Amino acid sequence: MKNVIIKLDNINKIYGKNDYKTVALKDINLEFFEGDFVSIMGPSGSGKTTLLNIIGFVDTATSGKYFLRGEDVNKLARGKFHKLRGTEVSFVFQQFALLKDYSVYENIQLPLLYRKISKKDKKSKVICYAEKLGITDLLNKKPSQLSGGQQQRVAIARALASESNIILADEPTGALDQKNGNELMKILTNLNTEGKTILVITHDQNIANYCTRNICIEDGKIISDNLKL
Amino acid sequence: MVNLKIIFKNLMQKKMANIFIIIQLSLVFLLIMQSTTSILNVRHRQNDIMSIIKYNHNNVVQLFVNNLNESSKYHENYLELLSQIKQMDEIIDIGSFHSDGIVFEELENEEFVDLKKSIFSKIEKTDQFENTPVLNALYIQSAMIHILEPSIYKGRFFEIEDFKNNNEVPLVVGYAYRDVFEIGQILTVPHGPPGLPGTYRVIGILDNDNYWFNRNNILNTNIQDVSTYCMFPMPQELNENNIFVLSLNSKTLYLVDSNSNIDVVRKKIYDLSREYDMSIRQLTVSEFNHMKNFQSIEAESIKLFTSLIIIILSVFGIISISISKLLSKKREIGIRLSFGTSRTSIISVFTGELFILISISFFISMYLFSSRITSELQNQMGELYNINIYNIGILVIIMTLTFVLSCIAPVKTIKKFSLKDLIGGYE
Repeated sequence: MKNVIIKLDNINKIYGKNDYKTVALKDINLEFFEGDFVSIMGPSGSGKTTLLNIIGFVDTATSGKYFLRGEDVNKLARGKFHKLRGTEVSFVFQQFALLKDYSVYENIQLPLLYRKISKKDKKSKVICYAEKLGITDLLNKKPSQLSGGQQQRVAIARALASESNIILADEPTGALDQKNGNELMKILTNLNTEGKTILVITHDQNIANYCTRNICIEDGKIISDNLKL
Repeated sequence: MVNLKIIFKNLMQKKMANIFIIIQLSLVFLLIMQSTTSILNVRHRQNDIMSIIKYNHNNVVQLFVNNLNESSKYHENYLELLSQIKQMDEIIDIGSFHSDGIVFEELENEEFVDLKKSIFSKIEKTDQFENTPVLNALYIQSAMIHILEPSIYKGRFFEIEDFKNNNEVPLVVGYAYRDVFEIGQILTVPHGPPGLPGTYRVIGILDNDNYWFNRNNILNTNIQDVSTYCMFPMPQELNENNIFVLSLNSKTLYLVDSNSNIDVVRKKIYDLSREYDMSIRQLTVSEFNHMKNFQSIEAESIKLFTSLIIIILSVFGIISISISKLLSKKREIGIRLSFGTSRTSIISVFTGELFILISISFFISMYLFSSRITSELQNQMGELYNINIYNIGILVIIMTLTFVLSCIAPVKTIKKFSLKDLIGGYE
C-alpha cells in the first residue's frame, strides 16, 4: 500500500470579489500517492494550472485543506512556503525557465544555492544529475546556445537537483517537437520508476499515455480520475 | 556569500547604468561635502578668531565710510573726523593699516627665489610667486600697536618711538622669515614703497600664532596668517596723500574703553561724522564676524539646499532605475523563488547592489574632496575645506538616508510580486 503524499480536501479557489468573482477550482478532493505518475488534462481555463500552483505552494486555496505527508499546509506561515518549494516540490516549465545570463552548471545549481552543504558536494550533485540527463558536455554553455530538447533536460536536471520527491511539470513538452517530447517523457518515466512522484499538465493524449493515472478537469471540477492498471 | 556573488554578477551586467548612477551620486555627495564642510569651517573659524585674537571683540570697532570722495575737502574732513574721535574720552586709540608690496635689494637674486619657495611652499603657491620679487608688506599706524598686541618670537614689536622719523625704518617680519632675517639686520629699499625708500633694520620677528585681518577685507572672518608679511610704521607723508587716505578710510579701527557703553560711543561718532558730511557705518569685530558668518552660512545653506534637492532627484532616479531593473528581472526572480530562494534573499541582493553603488560613490566623493585638484580649486576660491569627523558623519547620514529611501520602493515591489504572475503561469 503506497503512502499518501498529498491530500487535497474540498479545495476551492476563487479569483476576484463580488460581481467579478471567477471560480477557478471547486470542491477538489484528491489524493496523490508516493510514486504516482499523474497527468492532469483539461481545456484552457479549466483550472489545471491553478491546481498545480496550489500543490506547488505558488498560490493558496481560498478554502479547503491541503495536507502534505499528513501535515496541514495552511497552518504553515506563508513565509515558509519557499522552503517547501525548495525541498518538497520542484518544477519543470513549458518554456524551460532557465536563467539566460547563467551557465547550465549555475542553472542546475540553483536549488542548491542556499543549502547548507559544501561547495564540493554541490558540485558533485550538479555533475551527477548532468550525467543522468546526458548533458555533462553542456555545463559551461549558456541556455541560448542549447536546443529546446537540451534546455528541457537542463530544466529536469535542475528539478532533480532540488532532491524533492515531487516533480510538477506544466506542459513540459509544449515547446518541444514530438521526438524530443517523447524522449523527455521517457526520462520522466525513468525518474518515476526510481520513486519520484510526478504530476504533468498536458493537452496531449500521447503524453498522458506515459502516465499511470489520468485526471481530467473542466470548469474547476474533477470530471474523471482514472488509474491505469 | 551566495548573495554577494549574485550582486557582483548583476552589477557587471548593467555596467553603463551603474556607472551613471555612481557619477551622479559622487557629484552630489561632493557638493554636500563641500557645503557642510564650509558651514562647519565658518563656525570653526569663529572659534579660531575668538581664541587667537587677543583684544576684546566688542571693544574694537571698524569704521566704514560710505560716501567716499577724492576731493581735498573730503580728505581734510576725514582727517579732522579721525582727530576728533581720537580726542574722545572713551576712545583709547584709532588707527589703520594698509597692505602693499616691498622689494629689498639684498633679496633680488637666487637667494630670494629660494626664500620665496621656502615661504610659499606650504601654501602651494611657489610657481605663482617665485618670479615676483615682492614681499607682502603692511604699513602700520601707531594706534594699531595697542589694538593688535601681537606675540613676538624674537626682538620686539613697534613702540611709539618707532613712528617718529628715523634714519633707519624699523621692520618687523612674520614667522616665515625667522631663518632668513636676523634681528639688527640692515636691508635696503631702492625704489619704494611710496615715501619709504631707504634703509630698514629688522627689530622683531612675530611668533607663529599671529592671525590678523584678511588682506582684502581687513576684518573678514577669513583671518590672515601674517607670518609671510613684513611690517613697518606708516610714514606721515602717506597721511597727506588723498588716494592713500581714501584707501585707508574703510580700514580704520578704533579701540573703546571697556568701561564705556559702545552704543553711546557709536552714536557720538555717528553724529560727529554728520557734521563733516560723512556717512559712516560702525561695526564691532564681533558684529562684523557675526555678519560674515551669517553671509557664509546663508550662501552655503543655499548650496546645501540645492544639494539636497539634487540628492532627492537622484534618489528618484535610482528608484526608477532599480524598479526598471527589477521588472527586467521579474522572470529571473520568479524562477529563483520557484526553486526555494526566499524573498529576503532577493531583497538582500537588490539592496546590496544599491548599497555597493552608493558606497562606491561615497568613497569617490571622499577621494575627489581630498584630492589635490579640489584643494587647488578651493585655494583659488579662498576657502579651506578640511575633512573632519563631523562632515564625514553628515555625509554618512546622508548616504544612509539615500540608501534607505532608494530601497523602499524596490523592496515594496519585491514584496508585492505574486509568484504565479512572475512565472507567467509557467510560461
